[in-house]
Amino acid sequence: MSRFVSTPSNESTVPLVVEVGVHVPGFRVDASFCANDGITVLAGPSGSGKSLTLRAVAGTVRPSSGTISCDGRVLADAARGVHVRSQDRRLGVVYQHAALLEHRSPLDNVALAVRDGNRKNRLQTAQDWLTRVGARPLAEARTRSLSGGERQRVALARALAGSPRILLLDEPFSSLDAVSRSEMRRLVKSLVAEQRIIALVVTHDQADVDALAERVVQFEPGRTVSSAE
Amino acid sequence: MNDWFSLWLSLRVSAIATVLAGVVGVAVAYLLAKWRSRLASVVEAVVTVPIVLPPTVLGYYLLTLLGTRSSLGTAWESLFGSPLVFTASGAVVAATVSALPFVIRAARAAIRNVDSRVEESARVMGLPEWQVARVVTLPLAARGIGAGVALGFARALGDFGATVMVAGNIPGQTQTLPVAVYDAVQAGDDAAARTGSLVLGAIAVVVLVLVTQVFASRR
Repeated sequence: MSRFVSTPSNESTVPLVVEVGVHVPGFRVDASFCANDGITVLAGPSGSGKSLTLRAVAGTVRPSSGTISCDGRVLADAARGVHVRSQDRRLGVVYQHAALLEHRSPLDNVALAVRDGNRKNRLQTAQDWLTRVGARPLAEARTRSLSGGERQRVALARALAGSPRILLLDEPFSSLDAVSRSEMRRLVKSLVAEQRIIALVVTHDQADVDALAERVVQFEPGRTVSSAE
Repeated sequence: MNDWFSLWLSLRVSAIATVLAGVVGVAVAYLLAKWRSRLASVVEAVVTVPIVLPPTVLGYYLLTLLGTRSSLGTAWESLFGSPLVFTASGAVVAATVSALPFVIRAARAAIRNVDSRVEESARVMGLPEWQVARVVTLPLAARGIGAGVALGFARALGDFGATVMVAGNIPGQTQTLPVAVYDAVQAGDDAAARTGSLVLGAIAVVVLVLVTQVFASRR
């Protein structure tokens, strides 16, 4: 985990380039890293700015300086006032608390993320994704009665059902028991590899880093300090 | 039987006013909940001022704004062929304006309380803003909105001051039940006043029970 692999200086060869300052009341983070297809873990202590950086990539907060680009397309450029809406960034997201719609079935939750096709096709795609994450029997369950592990599986299916280019996972395993956590790590790893997408995983758990990371971006409070694989 | 007419008119006026206040109120509440600006608090104060204004003063403003010599009143008359004030439609306007702040305040609070992470993840997964509102925000805020609409209905049903100023007190035409109760007391007709008051009181209790048991309770 020591070889320095990528900085924004070689951005022409790297799919995702993040070089931003993000400022919210009482806190600022300056993040600079690149990410290829596969899993890049944003690691560091709580409060170091990992999640805020992830939200900047998601487009839910605007960077106060710098740029974010993906596959040569500028997603955010503070100096030029460019800010592509979250909806147009081709993203999937899994939060610590799955953020599912409690009033919709798991199947509906996933189908909402499918962007193409009529309702029947979207439901079929959603079924397929639930099957792939091992949550097919939960399709019509009451969402609010799902366990933590089940919720994260559905959230992962929803995140991938929209054919994202970038998958964002913010402490996705921290509320799970050891068995679910281990299963989810394996699932995320295999699906990210299969889909050939960029995955950014925020965690402060060294076990997540060891199990998942192809690249690690290390955060200290308010800044990134290294990027290595 | 003017009492029955008054009750029927009150229910009709309140029902229409509740629908209008519900649609307008939820739309305004959504904008106020999402709009981060100092101007938003000014708009919020203006739209909720009927709660603190004496109803007769509110009625006076409406009468001035919608009377036959005002531009809005003239426009209404040329459009529908009859004036708005001193008609049942005038009573609907008075009841709507009285109910609106109750809907707006409850709906805005409910919309603001929706977990922003759920809305955020819906946006990130590609739902356009109107879909986020339709699929995420409004369903999650439905109980609070429902409570506000129920309270708005109760307020519309019970309105006296604004209604009497804008719609007048014409038995068999614009006399709602609260106005009829006032009329009955003035005329010394205790039985009619008692009946009207009991009916209004019963409806108010039912609405409040509904708000407490259905809308305000946790799922």
